Amino acid sequence: MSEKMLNRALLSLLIIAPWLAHWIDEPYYVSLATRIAILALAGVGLNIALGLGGMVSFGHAAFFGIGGYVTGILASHALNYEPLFSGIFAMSGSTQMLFIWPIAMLVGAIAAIFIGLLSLRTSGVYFIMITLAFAQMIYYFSISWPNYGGEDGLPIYLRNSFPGVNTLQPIQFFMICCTILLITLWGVSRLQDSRFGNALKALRQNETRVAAVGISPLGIKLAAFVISAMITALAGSLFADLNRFVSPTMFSWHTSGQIMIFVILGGIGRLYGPVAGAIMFILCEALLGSWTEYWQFFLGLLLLWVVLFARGGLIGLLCGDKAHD
Amino acid sequence: MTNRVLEITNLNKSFGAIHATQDLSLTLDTGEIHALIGPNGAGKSTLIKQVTGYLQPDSGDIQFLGQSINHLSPAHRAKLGLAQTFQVSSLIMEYSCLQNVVLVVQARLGSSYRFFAPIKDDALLQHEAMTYLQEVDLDTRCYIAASALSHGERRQLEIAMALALEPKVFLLDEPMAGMDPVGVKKLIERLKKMCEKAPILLVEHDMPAVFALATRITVLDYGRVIATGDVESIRNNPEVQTAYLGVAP
Repeated sequence: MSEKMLNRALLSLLIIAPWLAHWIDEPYYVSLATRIAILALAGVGLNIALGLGGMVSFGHAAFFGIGGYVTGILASHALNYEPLFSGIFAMSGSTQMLFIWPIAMLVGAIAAIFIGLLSLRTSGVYFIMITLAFAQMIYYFSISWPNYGGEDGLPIYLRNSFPGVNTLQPIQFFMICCTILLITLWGVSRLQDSRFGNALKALRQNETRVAAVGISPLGIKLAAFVISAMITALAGSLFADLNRFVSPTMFSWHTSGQIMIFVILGGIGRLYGPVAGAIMFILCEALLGSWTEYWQFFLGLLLLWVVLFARGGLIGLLCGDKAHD
Repeated sequence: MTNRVLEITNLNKSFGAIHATQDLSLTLDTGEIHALIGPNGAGKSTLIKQVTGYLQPDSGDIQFLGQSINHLSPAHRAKLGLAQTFQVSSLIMEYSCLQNVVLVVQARLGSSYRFFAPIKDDALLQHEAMTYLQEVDLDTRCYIAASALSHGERRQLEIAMALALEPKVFLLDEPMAGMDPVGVKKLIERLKKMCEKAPILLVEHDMPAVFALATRITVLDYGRVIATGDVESIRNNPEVQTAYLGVAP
């Protein structure tokens, strides 16, 4: 099977299934598909760092959570009519997604620049540990910060709004998430074939060589890390709106691990890998989870099998090795 | 002074008790091939690494085109025009030959921070990369992944990548290593042409090749320069003969 066909099949499945669920009036499955789309988006973000750049970030929960908390904080201020901060200029909260998204991505980017500058000087195991440490720092900070719910999390009483769309209706919110996923996939497909993508993929394979031709590795890696974080932060923002709730769990290392599992299950460095991975993960959770409490045991088996015998993930298994062009 | 490209003065580098580079001074002028020879462990590679920026010297100065480059990163030095080939081929293994060279041309022709335009549609980039592959006779193999190339072809690709940088100086670390006699012969001719473009600092163990190519030879032993001069004077230098050429004193 060609990779293009598989990608189309995955997308069709992701788009058609919730519409079917919508018509037979099963909103649970619509929200399941929405979760898949959002988590896939987070995975697409991580895949830029992990798959294209070879940066094994075990701290992407930081950006996912930042996206979520920005959304929750802005919404709670808007709903309580409290200004976010006041001083020389004041800023009020907002319930407009079109306003919240850029802020979430901006804050995610700022955090990524800071974390990236400190952690990209290391590589391998040290990089994994440093990114994990940063995410855990933010996790404990969010637990001990009482203003926004602390350990209990922060509810968003009304899902934020988008012009011309009733976001409270599951299928309409799904379409927003799905559209963002599609636009991002298209953007990343352009990115990976661009000059930047060329340098980034080369860096993953041979950093010394890339430096020797005059491309500074740190700049390219940092830019990729930041783009990766921004996409994951956007996913976090949508995730907060889906659940209408944010909690420190979004920052926990379980979240980082989950996002990484999507990428590995689907196929590291494959454009649609995280989509395939998120579909598999959520279906496992939904199907096995209704059958046994210990569904994660079977997920573990699946992951073990992929890592041992199907390195290219689901997409690699079905489509074979990546073509050289 | 106008034609001085590289000037190394009183360079020192130690690893613990080992003094790998001792008060080493060296120059490279336009149009010349300056060969660096010496037994294993003489400090040739350590020197090259200090010039390319992967090692920081303990003291001393490296001037490139009249500018001290001691504190520049390897990438910055390459951008200024310092091209190197590696002792052990260092390529982007999953990339095809063409993609490997495209990366170099891309680095030289401008920014790598273009996120949207597909590289395949960049005819100028592709075309230019192809001309360098033609120069080393690899154009027929352009779509083969670097990992699938033979050892000799990888060495050729290294040369193509150095050429694609259009550098001001070539630093070639044992370009002949492991090549067959025919390959060596071809490479000698190629290097002769290359030095018209930019001078070459050549580290090499293949003595006939060095004697055929070099305008100047510097002999290193224990991190020091033990002799420097033209081919004839080095060939006849007794100290060099015992240290390196394997002639009994």
